Amino acid sequence: MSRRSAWWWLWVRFSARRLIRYPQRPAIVLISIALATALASAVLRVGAASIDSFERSISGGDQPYQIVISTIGGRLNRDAIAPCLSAISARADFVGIRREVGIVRFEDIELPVRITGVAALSSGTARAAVPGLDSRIIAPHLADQLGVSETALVTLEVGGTTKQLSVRRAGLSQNIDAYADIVVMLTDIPRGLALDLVALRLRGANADALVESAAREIEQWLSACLSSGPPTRVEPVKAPIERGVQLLGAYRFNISVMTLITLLVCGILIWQATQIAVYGVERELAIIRTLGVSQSSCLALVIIESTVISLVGALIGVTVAAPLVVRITGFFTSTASEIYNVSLQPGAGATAWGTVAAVLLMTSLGAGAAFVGARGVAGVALYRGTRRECRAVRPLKGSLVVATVALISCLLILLVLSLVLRPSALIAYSVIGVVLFWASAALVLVLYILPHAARSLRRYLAARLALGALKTSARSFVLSGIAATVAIALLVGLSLMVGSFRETLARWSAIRLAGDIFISSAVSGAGNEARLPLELADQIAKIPGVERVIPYFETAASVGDRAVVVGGVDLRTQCHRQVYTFISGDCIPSDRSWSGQAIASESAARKLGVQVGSQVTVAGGMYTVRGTFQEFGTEQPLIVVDREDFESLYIQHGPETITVDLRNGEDLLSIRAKIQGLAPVTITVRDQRELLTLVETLFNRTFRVTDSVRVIVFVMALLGWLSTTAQYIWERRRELRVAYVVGVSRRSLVTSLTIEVVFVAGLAAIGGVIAGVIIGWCLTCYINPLVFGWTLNFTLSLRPILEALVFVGCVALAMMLLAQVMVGRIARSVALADE
Amino acid sequence: MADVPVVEARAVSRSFDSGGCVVQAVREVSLTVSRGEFIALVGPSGCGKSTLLSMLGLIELPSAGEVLLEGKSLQGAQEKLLQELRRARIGFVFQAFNLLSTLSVEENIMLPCILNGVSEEQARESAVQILKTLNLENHTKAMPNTLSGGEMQRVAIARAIAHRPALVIADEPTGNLDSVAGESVLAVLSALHHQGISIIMATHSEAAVARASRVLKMRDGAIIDES
Repeated sequence: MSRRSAWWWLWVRFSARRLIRYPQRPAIVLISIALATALASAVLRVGAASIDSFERSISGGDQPYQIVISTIGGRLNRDAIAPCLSAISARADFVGIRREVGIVRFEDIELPVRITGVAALSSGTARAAVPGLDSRIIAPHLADQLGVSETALVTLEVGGTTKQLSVRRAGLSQNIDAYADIVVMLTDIPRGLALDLVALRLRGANADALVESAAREIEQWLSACLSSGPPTRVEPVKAPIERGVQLLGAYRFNISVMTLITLLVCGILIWQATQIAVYGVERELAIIRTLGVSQSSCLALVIIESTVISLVGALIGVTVAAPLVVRITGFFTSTASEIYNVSLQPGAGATAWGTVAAVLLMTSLGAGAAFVGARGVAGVALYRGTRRECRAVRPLKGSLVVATVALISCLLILLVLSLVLRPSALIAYSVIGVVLFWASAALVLVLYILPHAARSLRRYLAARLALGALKTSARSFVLSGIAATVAIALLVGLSLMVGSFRETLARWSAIRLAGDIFISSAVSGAGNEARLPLELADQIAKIPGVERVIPYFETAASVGDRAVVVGGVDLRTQCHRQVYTFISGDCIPSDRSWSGQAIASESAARKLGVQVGSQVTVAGGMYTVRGTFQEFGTEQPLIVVDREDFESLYIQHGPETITVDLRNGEDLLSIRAKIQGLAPVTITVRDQRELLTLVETLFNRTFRVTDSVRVIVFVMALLGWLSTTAQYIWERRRELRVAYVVGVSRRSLVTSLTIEVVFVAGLAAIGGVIAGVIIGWCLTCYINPLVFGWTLNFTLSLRPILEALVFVGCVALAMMLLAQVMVGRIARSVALADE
Repeated sequence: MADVPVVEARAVSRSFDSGGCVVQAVREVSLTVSRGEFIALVGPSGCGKSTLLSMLGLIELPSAGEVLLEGKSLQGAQEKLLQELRRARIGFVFQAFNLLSTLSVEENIMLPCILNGVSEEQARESAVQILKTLNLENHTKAMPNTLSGGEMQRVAIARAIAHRPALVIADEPTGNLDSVAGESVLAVLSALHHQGISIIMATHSEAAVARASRVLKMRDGAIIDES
């Protein structure tokens, strides 16, 4: 028989048969890989599909070309521009492109809409019941909000009129409109309503040169047509694209972090499961090596076996776990769609890519882990390997552990010092990476030291058994401990960052939103907010009990080629009310004029490169920056000038919001009712409590992606930790039986295992919490200001730490139960018969 | 050729690093095993018997001195050569049997032949023949975990001799067995000796010593007596 045939003969009997006859160990590996692949596949699918879809939606690949008609001053009246819009389709020379012009729609406008009824009807039934009924496909997140599982008849009350729509929930593979939302799809806005902008959509993509040249022609024509009416701007949409690029950056960051964390935890899970499985055949490999099988043949035996298991596991992961994948994908895309206001639909290509990538990645991880494990196992000294008593003994190498911890500690100290002295996002990310290594290495060090140090505990039998096991089998514990440490660190770090953000925002809101009543337009839209009537502020000031009325103006402008938001407010009054939290600079003395002075948001200071004393030119006026302040109301650069300066730049521009201070003891409810009575349909009146609640709601919605990251990390960490610890206990079943046979009670055995599990869990909790605090500090104090431009105050709250302890407690409890079951099943008669 | 010893150890020593402390397991032992010899190696636990056997069986290399297999010095030999020599010229019997749990009795015995390039049919014939000799013909298709200790050790012996090695190394082959099973194993080894196979066996058993043609006593890593 040839050498190759001999190898296959052995493989069939040594590896393949073990998979059938002793399936427990391969099954654990297989399940681990299937789980990891399912999650990785979902995350990769979402990542690939959503970023692709996001890019398409902002780059114009599939985006219809848009022309925006907006105001220069005053309001835009639909009736005034309607003749020009109608004339587009009548123009004979646009015949070539006329068919490409879509419905003229009022884009980016939100009206006060009340849903008065949702009836679950099939679209056919609904159409039969309501002749001429419009049909809409709606995004899954919106369908969830409305409680629409498939199709429904929705009744809406919009701007005083009632409208009915037949709506159908979008499928995952359905390419719905980027702004597929009932509110913005309404075309029958009450006539005569003043608007801020109107968008024309041309079918065809931005990248289509023919459509673009046609659009230029229409732009010019519209400009000429509208020149006789109120001043208007006609231009292609730019701001949404720029904003989209910013959002994409943030989204890409979130997706990347989530993918990295998931793959890291999946990797540790697979690594640990495979390593334990490989170490399980250590003695048998030593036997066949003694009989003359080469080391490379042994390696090949293990690697092929592991690759087969990994491949089968990965395929099971992406097929059997498909519903899980769909659920995770749906959960994530609907959350992201809602937050970023874009349609994220995994296409077939991205799905295939995510699936294939997950299968390849997880199979390679399994095979790679097997290769590393097998190299150690196949290279074991034959003398030692053929003696079964030595089999499970895998102590740590003390000098190596100490050297590693010392090296990583030095590196961490250097990086933290560098970060404090010379902050940069790269160093901050490096600190996060190194602190995870440091926590893992510290865990290994304590795992090495403590069993040696805690000699006093040895008088108790269970403690002696546990410390002995920790000392001799530390390497078996290490990876599960590291997985737990990393997971806890990430959970704590993310929670602290979100908590700090929340605290900072709460403090900021309490200062900025000083005032009793806040008025804004009921007609609002992203990117170009609708305005309030000019005369409203004066009307409110006349209401008895009102102490002060502060109108705030805002418009989009540019500084150089950078889009900015320009705000106008009575800066003297606002300084007196102390509503700005200055990062640098301050208000000027109250006896001096604010004319020609401005304050810049932190984002503006960073993006425009301005500081206190800098000059900025906005809409032809030059202003000196007196201070930079914290601003969470917009991520766009904001320059605030004095109200008088603003009004000189933007004539007849209505206020964006109005803040009202009441005299002490005045009845808020009655004054609020009086204000609402001034313009019942077009304004929204809120008190401070409602506004703060609204801010909190928006914050929670924005951070739902972080929540999904935390859920995935939690699930993976839990599964990883449980499976690896379960494997470890399973590996030790013979040792437990022997101990039982020689007289150790079941209770002592359970206590011993409990001590081991709690010990590792405790270490992971301590290391994870310390690392998590450092990660949270890095994210809050460095990454947020450097990447997103927000200065946050780091708040060390106890809640995430308690959550981590609960997590650790759950795992420890589950493992104690497993230990109880395993020890309870030991039968003395067969305790040693496992040859 | 007949005069060339099967295996020869020349002043071999072996030391181990045990927790930073060097343990001298075997000290300058010289030993010659001639063809057809049955040597019993006796001595207290920890005296270096197993270490000496693993050097003679090419599992371990000596820290000092040299081992010659059929006249060839193996000083500085590569693992590949040692592995080929182990596969072709040596058979092992361990105290803990060390049968492969996923292979049947017959397949365990066939394995050394298969590894040496013998066809599957011939390997099977040879295994069946040996099993008959060892009165195990009823267990041909059985899995190792269904056998008694004595049966497992006889299967281990069958595996050790299946490829007709020049030397069988047996490390306390009766250590895990009761007296009856131990006696049957010793009977098999005696029979092999009478067939001209060289055997070197570490043992504590007086019955085993009685069957050996030469007895070497070890203490503290050295051979202190020979009879």
